[in-house]
Amino acid sequence: MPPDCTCQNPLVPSIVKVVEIVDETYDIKNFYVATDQGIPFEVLPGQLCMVSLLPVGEGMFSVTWQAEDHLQFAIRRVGLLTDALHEIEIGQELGIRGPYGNGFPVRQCEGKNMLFIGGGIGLAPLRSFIKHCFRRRKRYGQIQVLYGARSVADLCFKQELSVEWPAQPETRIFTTIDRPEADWDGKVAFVPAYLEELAPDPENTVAVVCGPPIMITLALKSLQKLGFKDDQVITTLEGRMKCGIGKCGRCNIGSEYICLDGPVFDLAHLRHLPPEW
Amino acid sequence: MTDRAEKPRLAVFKFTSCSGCQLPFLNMETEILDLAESIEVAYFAMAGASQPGPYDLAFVEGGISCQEDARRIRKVREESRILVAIGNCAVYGGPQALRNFLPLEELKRAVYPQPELIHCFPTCQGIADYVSVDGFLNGCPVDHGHLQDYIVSVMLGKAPEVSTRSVCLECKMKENVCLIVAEGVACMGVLTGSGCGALCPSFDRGCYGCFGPSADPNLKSFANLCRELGLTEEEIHRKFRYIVNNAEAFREEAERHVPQPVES
Amino acid sequence: MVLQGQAGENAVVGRDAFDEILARLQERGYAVYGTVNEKGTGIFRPLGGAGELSLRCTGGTLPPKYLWYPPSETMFTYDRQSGALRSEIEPVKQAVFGIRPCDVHALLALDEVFLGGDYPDPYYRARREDLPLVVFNCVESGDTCFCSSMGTGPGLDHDYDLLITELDRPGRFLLEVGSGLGGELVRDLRAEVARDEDYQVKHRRLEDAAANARTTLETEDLPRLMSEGHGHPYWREISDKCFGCANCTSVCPTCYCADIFDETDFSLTETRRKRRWSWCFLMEFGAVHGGNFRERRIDRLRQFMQHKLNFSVGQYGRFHCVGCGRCIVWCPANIDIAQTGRTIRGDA
Repeated sequence: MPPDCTCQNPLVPSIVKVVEIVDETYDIKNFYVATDQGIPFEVLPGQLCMVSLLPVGEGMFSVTWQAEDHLQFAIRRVGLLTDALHEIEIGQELGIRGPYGNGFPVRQCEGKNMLFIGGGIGLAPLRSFIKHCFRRRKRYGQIQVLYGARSVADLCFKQELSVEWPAQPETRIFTTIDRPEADWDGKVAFVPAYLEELAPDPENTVAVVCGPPIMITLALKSLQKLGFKDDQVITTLEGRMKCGIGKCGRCNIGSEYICLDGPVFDLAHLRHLPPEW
Repeated sequence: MTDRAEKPRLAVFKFTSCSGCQLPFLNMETEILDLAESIEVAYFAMAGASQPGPYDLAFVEGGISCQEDARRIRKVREESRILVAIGNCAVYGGPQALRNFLPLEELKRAVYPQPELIHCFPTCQGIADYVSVDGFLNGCPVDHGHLQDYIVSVMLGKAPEVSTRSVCLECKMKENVCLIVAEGVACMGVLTGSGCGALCPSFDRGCYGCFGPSADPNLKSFANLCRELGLTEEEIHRKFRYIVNNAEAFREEAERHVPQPVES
Repeated sequence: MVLQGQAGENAVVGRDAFDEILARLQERGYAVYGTVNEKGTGIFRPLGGAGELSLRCTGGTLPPKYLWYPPSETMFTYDRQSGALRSEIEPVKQAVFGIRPCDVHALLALDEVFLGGDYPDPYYRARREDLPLVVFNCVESGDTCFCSSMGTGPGLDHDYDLLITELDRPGRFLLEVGSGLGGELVRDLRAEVARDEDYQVKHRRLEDAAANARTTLETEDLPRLMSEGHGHPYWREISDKCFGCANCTSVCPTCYCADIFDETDFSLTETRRKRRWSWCFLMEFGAVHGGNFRERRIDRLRQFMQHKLNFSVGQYGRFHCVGCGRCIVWCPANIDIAQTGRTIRGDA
């Protein structure tokens, strides 16, 4: 596969192989992809890639982690392309374009306490920021992760949530599910309600929120109630993305393109965008 | 990427219809040779294939008009992994669904010399009224491009995508001059799904709505437009009591314009 | 006199000059397009000879946009057996004879979209790099033209190879050479010297065309007023009439929204990644898993107009509405973007 084909043509993908597939839940798989030389390109936490499974199509996915020699994409099975992705095997070739988007403000958040609030598959993009903080633990203050899913079966990255992350210094992990279950003796509550119960201190804290739209909406309201200012709250937006490079207009919202100006926005900024979001 | 070891088995069935929706298969002259390489045409009476089921992908033309139809469609459903309704009749009941709005016995007597020999349901309906359906391809007849995309998608193991944009876009892409704007014709293209390539407007005839309602038809605005263009309530009613008379949006709009049944 | 053929040179020519210019473009290998009279309006077509050319204001149906941004194109092919991706982009030689100032501004807007930023589009570039433009200034205003309001006409004074303005006596045109290529196209042609009176006639005709515009829209502070007016009741009024047919966006010279998808034929051996025009009016446009953020017609209609009169300014520093008036002509529901702008900002 000649590399010339892709340089200077941002719409033609380069090829990666799937080197590992981890079943996180019944409908979420974490795909590890790499070229023969390792990672295809550097990715900042919160950035996105367009992943192609030819001949099915292409879709925009956030990178859940950039490891030494591969990139990880946690993908939930929700439709045409993701259904097909869930059927592939290790060794499958995929197309990849990127990295796109602005990524999380990892430098600006240094020195702050971090409050990560995630729902369902929303933990996937947050994970890249969380692991980044643990890599450079001393640069960040207290870290709290509040994560919820519909049920135990829907909780992803269970190993990290229950073993690795709680073991980190000055780190607290709160996990919850929506409804009681026989083998679960942890918290049962919706994420926004649990958030208000925990009442984290907004002092020198940045809240990073990602999850289903309704959870984000309610969590943002709760954060406001708890005294978080708009510029202390950041989230990522999802849109219908086709090109990833600001040419096809699909992700246009107000005067922004989610693929170029986002997907990470702080709340102060979001308030200026048209209300259909 | 999900190549199959055996060729998928395709079937095409006909119910109460004109057979016109089967012709696009036969008209795919060059493509049909490639098709024969990748797929096995197991049942297609018009093409001479008549093997028993099961089938991987079944296309059904025609509406359900009588007991025999109802029995057969249930059998087809049982034998088919994926069942797709193609064309106006299978999706909506077809032009023949016009009889749904008239008393059956009166109609029989008006048409047949021996009405007692005619046994049928009071209404002709699309097949989804009788069995669960996996896909709908509108048209009168169905567009062969839509059929092709659907078959290829199934062969590739991906869910097919069918778009319902308006006929207007097809007219514009052919650089037709809009009949509504330039000639005051009450063309239904603004309400109708694309697929025919704006065939009638390309010949200066207003669209008749063959592909059924588009994704978001503004019926109220169209009725107002018709009035502005000088149509009577009766004429507006007849526009919706025509080829696709039994699509819910069109059926309800027809009812808004003439409360009493039309004289036969 | 005889034209030297240099940038900056001006002269007065007759219609016969068009024949020669067109022939020279064709000799140089350009496919030349222009407006012809067809179906009772101006339609943009490939030109065989200059005799086919219509001087009427375009506004026809599809704008010249499809020359530099085709309705559909293949970006690369994928061989399913070998896994190879192949992308072949050939430069395209096209020329426009008789493009109007509004459409030139639309072209410049698309230049920023496709060639600006971090990811210049090589498919667009292949069609744009070698695109001679013979611009016709508009000396008459169409019913729905509001270029003078949008600052995009009726005259143009930049980005042309040749600029042609019809003078008072029919068959007499002021010719202005804007580039080296323009000069080559007119070198050695017989012409009359352009006198002061000729320039005065040009300016008077352009001013008259602007003054006689029957459609207007005040653009001072328009983006801010459109943002503030996002909830104005007028949106409901027009969306109640609107069919969501996308006629407006299909004839807009600046619309660039696209759909990208994979197409495979029956032989299943080759997949093509394609790009084709799409429109924010389509229901499918805003569909994401679990919902659709522009399901209501009012949201889709508003997105179209807000982008043209407001959001594009924030994104690109210019209005994407160039006042060509095509969307107003072709809307079957009589919705008018200029009137919408006037109403939202509180003018009559």
